[in-house]
Amino acid sequence: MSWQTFVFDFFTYAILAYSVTLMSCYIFIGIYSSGAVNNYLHKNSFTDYRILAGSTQTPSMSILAPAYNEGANIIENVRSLLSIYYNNMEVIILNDGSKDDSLEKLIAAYDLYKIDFFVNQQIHTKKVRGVYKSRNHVYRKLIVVDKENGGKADALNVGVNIAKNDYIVCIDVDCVLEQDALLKLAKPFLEYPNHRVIATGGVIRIANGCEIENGRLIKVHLPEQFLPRVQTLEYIRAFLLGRMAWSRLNGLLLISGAFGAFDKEIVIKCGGYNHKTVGEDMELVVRMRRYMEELKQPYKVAFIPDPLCWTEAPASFKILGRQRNRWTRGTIETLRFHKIMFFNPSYGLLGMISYPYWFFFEFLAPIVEFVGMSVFIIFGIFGLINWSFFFILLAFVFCFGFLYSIFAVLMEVLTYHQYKQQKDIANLMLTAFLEPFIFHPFVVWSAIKGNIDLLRKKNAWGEMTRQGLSSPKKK
Amino acid sequence: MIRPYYFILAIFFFILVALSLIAFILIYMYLRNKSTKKQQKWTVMANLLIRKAIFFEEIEDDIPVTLRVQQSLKQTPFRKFLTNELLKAKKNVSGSAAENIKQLYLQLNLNQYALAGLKNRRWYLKAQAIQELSVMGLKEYLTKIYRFTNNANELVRMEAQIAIVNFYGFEGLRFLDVVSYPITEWQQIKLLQELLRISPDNFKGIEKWLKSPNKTVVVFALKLVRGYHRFELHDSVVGCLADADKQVKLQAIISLGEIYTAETSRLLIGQFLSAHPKHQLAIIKVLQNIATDDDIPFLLQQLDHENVEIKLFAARALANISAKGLESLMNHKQALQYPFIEIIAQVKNELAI
Amino acid sequence: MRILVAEDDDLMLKTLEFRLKRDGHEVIVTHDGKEALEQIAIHSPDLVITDIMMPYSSGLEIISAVRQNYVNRIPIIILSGMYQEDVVLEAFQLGADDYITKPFSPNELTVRVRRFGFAHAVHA
Repeated sequence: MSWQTFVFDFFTYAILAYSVTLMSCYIFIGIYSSGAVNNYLHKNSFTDYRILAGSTQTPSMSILAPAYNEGANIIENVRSLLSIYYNNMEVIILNDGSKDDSLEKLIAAYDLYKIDFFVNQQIHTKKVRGVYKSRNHVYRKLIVVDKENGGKADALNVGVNIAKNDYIVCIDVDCVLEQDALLKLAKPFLEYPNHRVIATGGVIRIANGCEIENGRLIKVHLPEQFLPRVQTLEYIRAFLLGRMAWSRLNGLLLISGAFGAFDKEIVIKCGGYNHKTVGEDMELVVRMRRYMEELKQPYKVAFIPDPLCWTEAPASFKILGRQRNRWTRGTIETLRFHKIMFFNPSYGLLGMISYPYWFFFEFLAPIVEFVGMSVFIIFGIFGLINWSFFFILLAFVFCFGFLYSIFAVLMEVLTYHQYKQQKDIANLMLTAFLEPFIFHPFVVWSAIKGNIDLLRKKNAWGEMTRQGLSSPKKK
Repeated sequence: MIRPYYFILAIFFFILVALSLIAFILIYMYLRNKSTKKQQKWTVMANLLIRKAIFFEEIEDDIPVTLRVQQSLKQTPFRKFLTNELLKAKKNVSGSAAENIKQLYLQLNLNQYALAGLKNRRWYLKAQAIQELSVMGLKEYLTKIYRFTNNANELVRMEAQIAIVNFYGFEGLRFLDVVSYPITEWQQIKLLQELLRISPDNFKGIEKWLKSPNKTVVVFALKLVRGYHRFELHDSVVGCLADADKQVKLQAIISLGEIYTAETSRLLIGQFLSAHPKHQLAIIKVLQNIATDDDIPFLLQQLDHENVEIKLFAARALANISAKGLESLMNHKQALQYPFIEIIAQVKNELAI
Repeated sequence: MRILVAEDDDLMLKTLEFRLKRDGHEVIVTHDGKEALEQIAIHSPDLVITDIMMPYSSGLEIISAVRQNYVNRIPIIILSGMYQEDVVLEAFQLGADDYITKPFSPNELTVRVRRFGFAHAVHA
């Protein structure tokens, strides 16, 4: 046996072992999550949430919605937030130094005036220029905060300082929420007498292609463009399977910044959102968990699978690339800040399973894939590999991926069944087939670029230009 | 070296499973879409029947049910659908209309299925059956349902507790005497919500619940005390202040704010120094409503508290006591410095609204 | 009388429509707050019966908008599943004329509506 074949065999087996471990994780996630979703659906099938909408006994919540140059749709977005069914809440719009006329528009539409307000700087932030409330009693739940530009994390921290309620709900101002979203999000905080629930996450769904009117979802359609369509599939996989399984294990590390609720007291004790990372949403959850582990108090991060929040996904490769690049950097930064937990038994499940999983299969996966592919190709060029074996391996991985996607589609159909037309579902399955050829390599490449950028210390926030939700879409 | 043969086998296995899942999904959707179309017809049928029932006026007779409905009832999906619609309607109407819906429900023998559900092994079917009997107001099944109020399954237990309260109002709360499982916050909210519909008649039991070994029962009892202003229980609530359970103590502080006597503020102030920061904040918040001029010195002292939130609430309490309180706040030695200048501005602003 | 009903539950809406028509009223049905406000502008009804929890604009917003935008006072009855004291108080403060909680009795509704019809006849 020559040394080349030895190296090659060693390499092949390493890659193979890695893939098989990852596949086993996926199989576990698939099975474990379906139990969790099933249980949740049974539990909630006869809960009438609306009875509680008027209750004053429900936990008090503050919705925090940072807005930066959202003037185009801000009036409608705020109206839709105000029409959420929940009595015990306030809606705080954080105008993060917008350069457009967002603030003027809000003042005019909601009859706002500046009030004297003492901002308790529990978390240090950029300066608050003014706090506004409405003269109209119907809008008394609305608070608009004008502040100097400081980025999303800073805006949210200002919101935490100003919020007077026990829980904060962080959302993107332009996402479309179902009207009982808050009732459902509040429930997990009240269900565990022996655990402190420090956060609840919700599902994000893709709104591209859906009919939206005045900030409300009228009809769900599968996006027609390829990129949003793959992301629809990707989100179903990630939320319905991935996060559901992790929350059942009580090992969930990520609550999307677009829709999640947090225990304000713990957020403040942890020092709020970290504006030094581009992944402030993941970083906060990890820090809160770490804090609770260090306190040795029983706690839980919950997750609910209902499709409650709809948001627009990037439709161009350029913006998608930036987004994934940013996610990668956020993940790495978060892992780096909290590396003390890596296989550290004093952090329990968090240190022994969640963190290592993220390290090996979220952070390393694209790198392993990229390096593996490159090496195979180099070996191939030098005629050192058995091509048929290579393709069999590739097909093996591909088929598994396809199967996993199909399973996700099955779960969606059996549970929430948002895409009613057979055509849409067939389309989704075709997308599952195409994803590994078109979408996946691009995502891996963006992640690699994220790694490179981070090494070069490029910290800028990939700007995300949105299309605007109420811009005319089909039909 | 692993032989490629195994991989090919695995590939075929994956493909086979994927294809069968695809087939399953497509067939499932086909059937589901078909039943959706049927459901539109059912909706019309059910709505018509329910409307007829709501406005039915012959007291003695049966509500006329068309042959088509009777036939369709043999199909389980339709039966479940109609039951659901009846439940929805029953929740929305009262008086003779509600009685008619109940009559229709019984006339169609739908209660038999709910009774069978009570015996089902699966917890969610059991819980659902309890809810159904409760919404329909079938008090004759009380004893059957009462047994479930301390059931090991959380959902079953919750629905049974709600049902008993729905049937018997405050008297139904007697399950609190024996319940050994925790009453979750969610369940407490639902119970309080259920009780809101019933006028309270100085119901008995709170005193016993305040001493329950089940801490969640104590918490719930404290909420009842404040919700129904049971002033006579003041001393028992004060007793709860000494409880080691943080939640009990917190709720006791809040409840005292609703049933206070001339002594209460002095009592809470006495507890203040040794209290947990969370309880300190709760005490200050309560003082906003119950403090008198006598408490001004204490509150002024708290303006120097290290916790800024306590400063703010102490200032707010001062402003709310009396003109004298507000004056003493504005004469504070640091009144013109940060943060007091802003705190005072906000507090004054709030007074003006 | 011309009555506008706003209610997002279909079964309830149909029930109300049926009952009010039988009592001899002209009924305009709307399914959400936005539609209700548009239809009020078009039809200028003699009475509005509205739910509170509805998509787009709540019943409370409807009261506030109607009180602000119309010179002649259109009577408004709230018909809602919310029976919390503060919600009821708020409705009246905003200018509601009556508040019926669900579950409600259709017979009672007829009688309450009739009172407004009487006032309407006197002023007309």
